[in-house]
Amino acid sequence: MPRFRPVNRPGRRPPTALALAGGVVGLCCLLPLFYLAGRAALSGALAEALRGSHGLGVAGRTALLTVSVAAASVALGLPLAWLTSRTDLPGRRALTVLLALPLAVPSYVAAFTAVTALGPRGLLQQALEPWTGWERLPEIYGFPGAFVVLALLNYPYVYLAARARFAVLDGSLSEAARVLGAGRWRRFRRVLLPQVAGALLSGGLLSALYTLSDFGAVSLLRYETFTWAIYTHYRASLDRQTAAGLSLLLVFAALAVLAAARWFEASAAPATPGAPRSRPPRRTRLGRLRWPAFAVCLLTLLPALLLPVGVCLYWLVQAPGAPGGAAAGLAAALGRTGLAAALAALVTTAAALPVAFLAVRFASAATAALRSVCHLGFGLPGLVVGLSLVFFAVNTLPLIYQTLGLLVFAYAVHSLPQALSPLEASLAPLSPRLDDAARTLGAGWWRRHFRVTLPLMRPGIAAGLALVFLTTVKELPATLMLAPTGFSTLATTVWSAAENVELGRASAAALLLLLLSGSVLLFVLRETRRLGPAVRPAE
Amino acid sequence: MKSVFKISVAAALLTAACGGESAPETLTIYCGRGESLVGPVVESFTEETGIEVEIRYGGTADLAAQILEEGAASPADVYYGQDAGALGQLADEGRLRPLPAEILNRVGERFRDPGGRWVGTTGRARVFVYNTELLTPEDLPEDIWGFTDPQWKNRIGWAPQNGSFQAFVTALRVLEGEERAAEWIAGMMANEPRAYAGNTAIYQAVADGEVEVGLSNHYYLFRFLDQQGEDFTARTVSPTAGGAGSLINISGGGVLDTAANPEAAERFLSYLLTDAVQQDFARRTFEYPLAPGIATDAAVTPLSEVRPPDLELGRLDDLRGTLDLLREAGAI
Repeated sequence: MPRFRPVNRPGRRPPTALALAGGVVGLCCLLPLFYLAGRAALSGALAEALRGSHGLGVAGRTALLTVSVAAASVALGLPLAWLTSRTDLPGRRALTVLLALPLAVPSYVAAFTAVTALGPRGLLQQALEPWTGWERLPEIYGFPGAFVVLALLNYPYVYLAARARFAVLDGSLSEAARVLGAGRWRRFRRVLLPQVAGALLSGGLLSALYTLSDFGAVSLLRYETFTWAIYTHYRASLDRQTAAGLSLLLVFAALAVLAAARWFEASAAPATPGAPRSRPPRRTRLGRLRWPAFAVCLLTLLPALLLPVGVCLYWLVQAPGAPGGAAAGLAAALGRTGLAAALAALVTTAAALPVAFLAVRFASAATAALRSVCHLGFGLPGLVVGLSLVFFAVNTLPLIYQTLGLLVFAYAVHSLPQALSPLEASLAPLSPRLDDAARTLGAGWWRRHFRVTLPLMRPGIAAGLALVFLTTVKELPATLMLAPTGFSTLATTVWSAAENVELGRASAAALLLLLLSGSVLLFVLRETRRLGPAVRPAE
Repeated sequence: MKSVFKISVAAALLTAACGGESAPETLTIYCGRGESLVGPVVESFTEETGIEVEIRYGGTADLAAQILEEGAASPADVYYGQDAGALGQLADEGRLRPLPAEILNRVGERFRDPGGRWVGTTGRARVFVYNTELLTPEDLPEDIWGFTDPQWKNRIGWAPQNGSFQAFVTALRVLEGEERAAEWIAGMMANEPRAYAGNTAIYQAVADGEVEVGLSNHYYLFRFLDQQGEDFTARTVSPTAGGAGSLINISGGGVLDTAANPEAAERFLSYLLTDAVQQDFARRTFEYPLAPGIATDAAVTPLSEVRPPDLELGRLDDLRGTLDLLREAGAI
């Protein structure tokens, strides 16, 4: 979320069509909120949800986890982005893709494999015991486990945003600072950091909102957050009122996160919109630090990606009998997953475009509110978004209930900010003067946008498509509720197989899910490279 | 981008148009049980009756919540779940219609709704799961009260968030009263049991030796044995003294009040209670068949040795009270 200065279109009213499109998107994103307000108001459940110290304890734990995961995502994502895009890191092409992949690992898979491998008596302990005699490893349950698992799943939000920023960063500022005698640290702090601050903020925001909404990791690692409490109320007693009250509290938490992000944004040094990129910066030579830096990347990948993949492979090999019979089912699930996620990526990104234009080019209190509204769905658990759309679809448009169209709509409501952030980030640095120039040359509205602005936003569009795709393929509760009957996806296959202790089939589906996501990532990263080199060769 | 958007909108509308229609002669089932367990039964049902089935799989509680949210417009004809509590709550909300006596009478009174709105199809017993390398069956207490002894400190696993566990606590409250139930939970909490997310996690933790013993459902053992072979280092026993700790909960179903196709829905429930299907369930899921005269799988502790409490499952509908109790004790 770069800083959007009024330099873009000071005080101008947006075109009616654009404002209307943004308004419709905003209304759609408000649907879950209307539903929750209605449910909670029926019973005064808000007070009930907060009753006693229990509610406060949950709030405190939720806040602690959210803030620490967001901070850790930045602390991990920024250096990894810098290493892979600005230095002569060995194996950086492969690492670039691999380091983004943890985003595609469903949190329930990551948590389950973490417990299996690293639990007090898990695979690691069993492997170490003959050598060390350790009968138990330290506990991973509670805050430490939930924190580590979620940080490792979420840092790619920051990593991808920072990489996209690095790809278009101007090298001349840093070189000027160097000529003026600024040392490395000073150049990093005064030149580089302000330029990527917006990316760090938008990545950190997505990481925080995801953490608020996550159920898989916190339940398996036993750390009670709002989302876990919400699930308990639905699942244990079908207590929809209290669950709605708790969900509203979660909405307030998401609003607090958004407010914090805006505060950071305001205090960060402004980006430099409109500054033409004169030339890319030089690639930094790591020298003696090349291999230690490589080791840092591997050490991140080891728990974040290799561990879940390794445990899945282990189960796949251990599973009795060939999974031949399941292969046809898996192939069909793969196709459906790809179709639904691709549609979701397209629809979500298309819906985010008007919001991005409004927020960047016509910044005002109204468009700021619209942005916040569009972020809310991502902070709510999929179960709540799913149930709210069940309610609205059945009561207003029964024809679309449990169709692919409604499912895609649900995905879009849930994941809109993931498309919005990169779109805004790629639009903000574009000077409106480009648009003016095209206008002077006689280009109409469509031509200006489709020949000038949108092509320059390509990396943002590609990143938005990819983020939505990656998180949609692993979505579970809304898929179970809203998909057409019999529309099993890879995520629902993982779930149903694991419920039935068919770990081999669950692993096969999880690995396919990662392969699918990996190939989509490859496409996106290639798209970013079309902009020309992010760096010049080192001196 | 414009054309892409147009195409995706067109695709969404097209699928909406195609998917929205459902012929009245199909039966729609919301199923909270696993596809690999239920799928074959549904296929043979269609083969025998010619009734096409649309089946939506999901979590037992999630689907019940979905039906409540759908209200009168629910497309579901049958709700088939694996917990008497969820069935009881749908019935309490007035969402299940009374079933004919010939369906209800296929199972004992204990395993059906006193109001006749849902019927159990198979039974699942609460058991103690123990690690075979660390314990023998003789080391285990005769009932759940034994685990409040300090010697079990840090050795027990349970799943207080889990529906089956909560049904058992509700049974304890009904059978022994609120005070005794609170006393048992306090005694357990003093022994610092490890809380797991569900029954699979408990079995895995017991087999790994993370805990020595766990409170869970009986049939998970056979899924693990099937997947991991006889070397699997956990086994189960039924509490020898019976009581709430050997509660038999059910998987079961009901017909929705808004069912478009109630006759076909009733046919499906009675099909689940035919001898052939009951035998099939006993063999494949290792649950207890509830229809009379059907043998339990040889590997499963026979019902005659289980000593379940004399309790109508229809009385297990006060889950809120159980949640409050667990919350006050700090267990959830």
